[in-house]
Amino acid sequence: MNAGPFRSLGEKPPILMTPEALDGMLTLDSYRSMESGYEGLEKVLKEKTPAEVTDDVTRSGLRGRGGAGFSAGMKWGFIPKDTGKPVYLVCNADEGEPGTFKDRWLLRHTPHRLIEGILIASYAIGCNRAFIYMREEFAMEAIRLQACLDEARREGLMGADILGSGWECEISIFTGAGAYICGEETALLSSIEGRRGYPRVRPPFPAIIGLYGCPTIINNVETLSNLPVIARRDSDWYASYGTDKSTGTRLFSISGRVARPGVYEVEMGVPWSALLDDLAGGPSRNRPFKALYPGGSSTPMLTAEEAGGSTIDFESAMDLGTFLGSGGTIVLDSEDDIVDATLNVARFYNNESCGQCTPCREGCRWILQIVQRIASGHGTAEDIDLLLDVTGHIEGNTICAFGDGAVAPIASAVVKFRSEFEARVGGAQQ
Amino acid sequence: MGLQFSVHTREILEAARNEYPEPRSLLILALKLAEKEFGHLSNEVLSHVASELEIPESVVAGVATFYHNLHTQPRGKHVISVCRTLSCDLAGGREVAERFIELLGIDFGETTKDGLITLQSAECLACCGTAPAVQVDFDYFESFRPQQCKEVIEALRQGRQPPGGSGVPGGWPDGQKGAE
Amino acid sequence: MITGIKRTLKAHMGEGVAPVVRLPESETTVQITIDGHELHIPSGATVMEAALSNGIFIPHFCYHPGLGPEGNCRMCLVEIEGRPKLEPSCIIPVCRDMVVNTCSADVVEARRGVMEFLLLNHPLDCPWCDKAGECMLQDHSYNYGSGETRHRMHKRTSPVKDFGPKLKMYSNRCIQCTRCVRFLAEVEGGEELSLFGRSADVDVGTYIKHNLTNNYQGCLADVCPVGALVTKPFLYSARVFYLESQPSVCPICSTGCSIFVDRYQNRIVRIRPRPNLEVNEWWMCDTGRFETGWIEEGRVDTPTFGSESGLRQCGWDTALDAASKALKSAVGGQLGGIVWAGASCEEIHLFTKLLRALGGIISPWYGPDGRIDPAAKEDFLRRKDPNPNTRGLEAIASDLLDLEHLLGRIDSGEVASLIVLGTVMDEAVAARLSNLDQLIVISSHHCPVGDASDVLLPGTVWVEKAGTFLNGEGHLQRFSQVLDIKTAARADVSILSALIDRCGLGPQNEDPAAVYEEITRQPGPFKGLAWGQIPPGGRRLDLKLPASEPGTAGREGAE
Repeated sequence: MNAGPFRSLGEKPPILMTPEALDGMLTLDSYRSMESGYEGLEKVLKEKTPAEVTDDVTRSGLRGRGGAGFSAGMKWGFIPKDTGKPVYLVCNADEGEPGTFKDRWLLRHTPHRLIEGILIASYAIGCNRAFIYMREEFAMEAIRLQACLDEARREGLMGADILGSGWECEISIFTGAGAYICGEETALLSSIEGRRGYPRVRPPFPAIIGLYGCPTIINNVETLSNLPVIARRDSDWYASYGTDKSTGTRLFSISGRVARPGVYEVEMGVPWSALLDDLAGGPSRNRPFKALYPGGSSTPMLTAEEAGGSTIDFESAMDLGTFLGSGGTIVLDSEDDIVDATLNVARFYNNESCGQCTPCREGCRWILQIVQRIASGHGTAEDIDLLLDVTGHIEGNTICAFGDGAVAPIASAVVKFRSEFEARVGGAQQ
Repeated sequence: MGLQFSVHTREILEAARNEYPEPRSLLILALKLAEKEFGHLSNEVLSHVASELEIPESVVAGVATFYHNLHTQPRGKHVISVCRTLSCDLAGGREVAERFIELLGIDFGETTKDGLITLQSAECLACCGTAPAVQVDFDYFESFRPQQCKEVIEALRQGRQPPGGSGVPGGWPDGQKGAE
Repeated sequence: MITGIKRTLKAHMGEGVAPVVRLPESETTVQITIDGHELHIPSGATVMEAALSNGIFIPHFCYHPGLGPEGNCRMCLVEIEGRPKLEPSCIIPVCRDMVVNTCSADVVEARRGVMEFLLLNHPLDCPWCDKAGECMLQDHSYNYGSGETRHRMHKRTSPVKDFGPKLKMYSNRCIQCTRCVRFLAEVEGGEELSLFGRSADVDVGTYIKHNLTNNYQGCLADVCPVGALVTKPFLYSARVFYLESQPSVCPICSTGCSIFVDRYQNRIVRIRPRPNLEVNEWWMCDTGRFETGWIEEGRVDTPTFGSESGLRQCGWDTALDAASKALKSAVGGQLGGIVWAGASCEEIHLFTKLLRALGGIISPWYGPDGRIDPAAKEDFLRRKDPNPNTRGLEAIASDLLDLEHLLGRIDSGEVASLIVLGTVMDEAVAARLSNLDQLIVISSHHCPVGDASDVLLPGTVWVEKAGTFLNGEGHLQRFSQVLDIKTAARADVSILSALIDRCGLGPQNEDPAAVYEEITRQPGPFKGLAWGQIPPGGRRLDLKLPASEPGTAGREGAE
C-alpha cells in the first residue's frame, strides 16, 4: 500500500501534495529552497514569449480545476491580440462548492506557488494587473497570502520590473462578502466591479469582454498552482501523468462517511477505489457505501456501484452522466437517507440562488418546498414526478451553470434512489 | 447629521481608490468598513456610503442586501455561525446546532436578549474534511464537538476569545493591505 | 378575446408604425433561416432583432429593443441548429447560415416551464389590474400557461410601494425582469431603482423609501410587462380594450415625441409614447404624458366681439365679419401679425399668406422667455424650447420681424391693427398693445392678449385638429384629429381660411392636407414631400441648419 496522500497509476511522485507542501512552504525562503520557487517564472521570463507559454500550457493538457474543466491554454488563447485594452487575470479563490476544500488547502500550504502561477499566467496573457478573489471567510488564508505577496514584492518578484525583465504585474486580494454564486466566473467579475454578484450572459465571453469591459481570464487556485512546476519542468512531463484527454493530477476533497476525510491528490485515470478506499480509508461506520456526489453537490450523484466500476477522469465521468466538477466528493453510506441529503442540498441552492433568471429563482425555491413536503411526510406520489418535471424545466435553461448544479443532485437522487422517495410519500397520512 | 467615516477608514478607501480603475469597485469594501464602524448598515449608513462614494443610494442598498456577510439589520456583538451544509450535517453539525440553540435559548437568526450573541447558519465553509465547522465572528473552528459549545459561549460572555479557533476573530484586518 | 389579443400583440409590435426594433448599422449582412424563412440580417443583430424585424414574433419579457440585452426571463429561448442547448434569442448574435427554430417542441416546452415558474407566485389580480388587456404575462399565458397551478404553498408577497404622485408599484406582480431598473440606469441615467435581496426574495424598489424624482416615470409603467408598475393618473380609470389609440405628436416641447392618444368617448384617457426611432425611440417625458389638464382648462368656448358695450359672445359670422373688416381697413404697413411657435405649419402658412397679401409685417412669439434654441436638450429626450414648431415657423415665415420692433411700432402708432395667432401667455406683451385700434386674437385658451382683444376667435388644441410640426432637429411629423371639438371653437386653419375668403383673397381650401400641399409648392425644405407620403414616423427635412446635438434619444454609455 502506498503511503502519503497521493495515488498514481504507476510509481510517479505527487505534483502538488509533495512532502514539502505537506509541511507547508509559507515563506519565500522555504518555497525557494524546498521547491525551486520562482525559478519557473524566471525561466519563462528569460526564455519564452507569452505565446510560447500559452502553447506549452495547452500542450500540457492542463484543464481548469474549478469545475468546468476547460483547457487552460486554449482559454488563454481567446484573449484578442492587440486589444488595446488592459488584460486582467483573476484567480478564483471563492471556494464554496459543498464538499470542496482543496483550494483552501493550497492557500494554507503553498501560497507562493499560487503567486508564481498567477505571474506566469499573467505573463502569458499580457496582463499587468491581477486580482485574487477570495471568499471573506478565508481570513487566515488572506492574511497569509498578503504576507507572501508583500514578501514577493520586496524581492522584486511582484510589482514593477519583475526579476529585472521590465515586465510588471500587480496582484491584489479582493475579498467577497458571502455569496456562493460569486464563485461563478462572471458573477465574480460583477462582484469585483462593486455590483450585485450576478452572472453574465454569454456571449460576450470574459476573454473578450470581462472585468471593466476588458479581456479577462479567470482561473482556479489549483489550475494556477500547477503552472510553476509545468514551467520548471515542461509540458510533456505534465502530460505524462493521467490519460490522453485528462492529463496531470487532481486534488480531491473527500468528506462524508469515509474514515479519513481530507484532501488527496490522484493521478487522472486512477479507479475511484483508490480515492474512496485506499486514500480515504473506506467506510467510516462499517456500513457499505451507497452513493456519492463525485465533484461537489452540483454534480449528479453516482451509486457506489457506478463509482466502483469507473475511473477518475473527465471522460469516464461524462460516460456516467456526471462530471468531476470541483473535485469535492461527498460520500453517503447505506444508513444515510437520500431524501434527507437531498433536502439539505435543496436548501443550499435555494439560499444561494442569485435570483436573476426565472427558472432558477422560482424553481430552486419550489424544489425546496416539494422536497420539504416529501421529507416531512406530507408529499404525494405526484410530487416525485413533479420534482423531475421542475428540474427538467431548469436544466439547460438558465444563465449560468448554477441552475444545472441545483438540478443535478435532485434529479439524480430521484432517478437513482426513487424507492427512498416513494417510501417517504407512501406512508403519508393526511 | 452625525455620520462620518473615521480617518483610518478614509485612508483605506483612498489607498484602495488607486487599486481599481473604477470607483464603484470600492463599494463592497466601503460597506464592510461602514458596518465595522457603525454597527450595521442602517438606511442612514447606506446613505452616507452613497454620498461618500457618489453612487446612487438604491444601488448601494442593492449591493448591501445581496451579500450574506453584509447586514442591514442589527446583530449581536458576536456571531456564531454553524455550517449546515451536507458534509457538516453528516458529521454532527445538527447536534452542534441543537446544542447552541439549547444553551443560548434562541433559534437560528435570533440574538440573545443581552445583545451579545447572534446565532446563524452558514453554508459550506470549505472545512468539509474537518467537519463540523463553526465560525465565531471570523474565527474558524473545525472538528467542532457539541461539548465545545458551552466553552465558546462562556468565553464570549467573559469577553475572551474562545480557544481552539484559527485565531482571527476580526477577519482580515480592514480587508485591505492598508493594514501596514 | 381574439381581437383583444391581436390588438395587444400589435401594441407590443408598435401598431403598424415603422419597425420598433433598431437593427445595427452594418456594412455586411448575414443570411440566416428562421422557421424556414430565409432572411438577410445586418451582422451584429441578435436573433430576436432579426425575428421581430421580419414579422416573426418570439415571446419575451425582459427583452426590450430600447434597453441592453438582459437574458434573464428565459422566455425567448430558441433552438439553433448545431447547438446543444436552447439559446436566448435576445442575446445570441446572428451568424452566417444559422438555422433557428422558434417553435419546436423543446422550445414550446421551455416556454411552458418559464410560464409556470412566473405564474407560481404571480397573484391572480387580472380582474382589477390595470395592465389586463396589454399584459405580456396574460398574452403568453394564453399560449403557454397552464390553467391550473401545481404549486401548493403560499405565494410570495411583497408590500405595495408608493413612488410618489405619478407611480405606484404592486410588487406582488413583479416578475423581476429588471426592465424598470435598466431603463433608469441605461436611458434616463439616474439609477433610482435597484434590485434588493437575493434568491426568490429579490425585489425592486428604491429601498430607502422615497418618491422617484425623475421625469420619465411613465416610461417605467410602459416597460413593465405586467401590472406591477402602474401610473397613478391612469389607475383604475379604464379598461384598455375599450380605448381607441390614435397616433399623434406631443406639443409641449421641440422634440415632438410621437405619441398615442388613448381616448374613450371623446375624452383623453391617457397618452403614451409611440415608437419612433428617429425622434423619441420608445420614450416620452412625464410632463407631456400626464400634464393634460391644460387641454380643457381656460378654453375659449365661443367667439367674442367687442363693441361700445364691451366684449360679448357672438356667432362666427359676426366675429369673422368684424375681424375681416378690421383687417381690410388696415392700410399697408399699419397691419401687424404675431404668430406663436405653437402653431402648425399649415396655420403658419395661411397666417403669412393672409398678412403678406394685406401688406402686413409678422413677428414670432416663442414664449415668455423668448426664443430658445429648438435643438438644445434638457435631458436625454426633452428639449428646452417649449414650442413644438419653432423650426416650422422659421422655415415657412420668411422676413420675420423681431417682436420687440413690432411692439415698438405699436407703441409709436405706426402699427394700429394687430392679428395674433396663438395663446400668448404674456402680460408684458399684452400691456404694450393698448395703443392698437384693432386687436384680433385667434386662440384656444384665454390669455392676457386675448383678454385685451376686440375680436377673439376660439381656435383648437392640437388633438382637435390635423396638421404638421417640424421639431428641433427638422423632423416633420403629421398629427391627426383625435377628439371632436366640444364647443363652438373651430380649427385655426378653418378660421384663417374664412378670413382669407372674407378678405377677398380666396377661395381658400381649409383642408389641412390641401394647405400643406400649398407649402410644398413653394421653394423650401417641404418641396416635393406630399402629405400622403409623410411616413407615420415623420420625415427628416434638410433645413440646412448649423451642426447641433444628435436628435435621437440614445442609451447612455453602452457597455
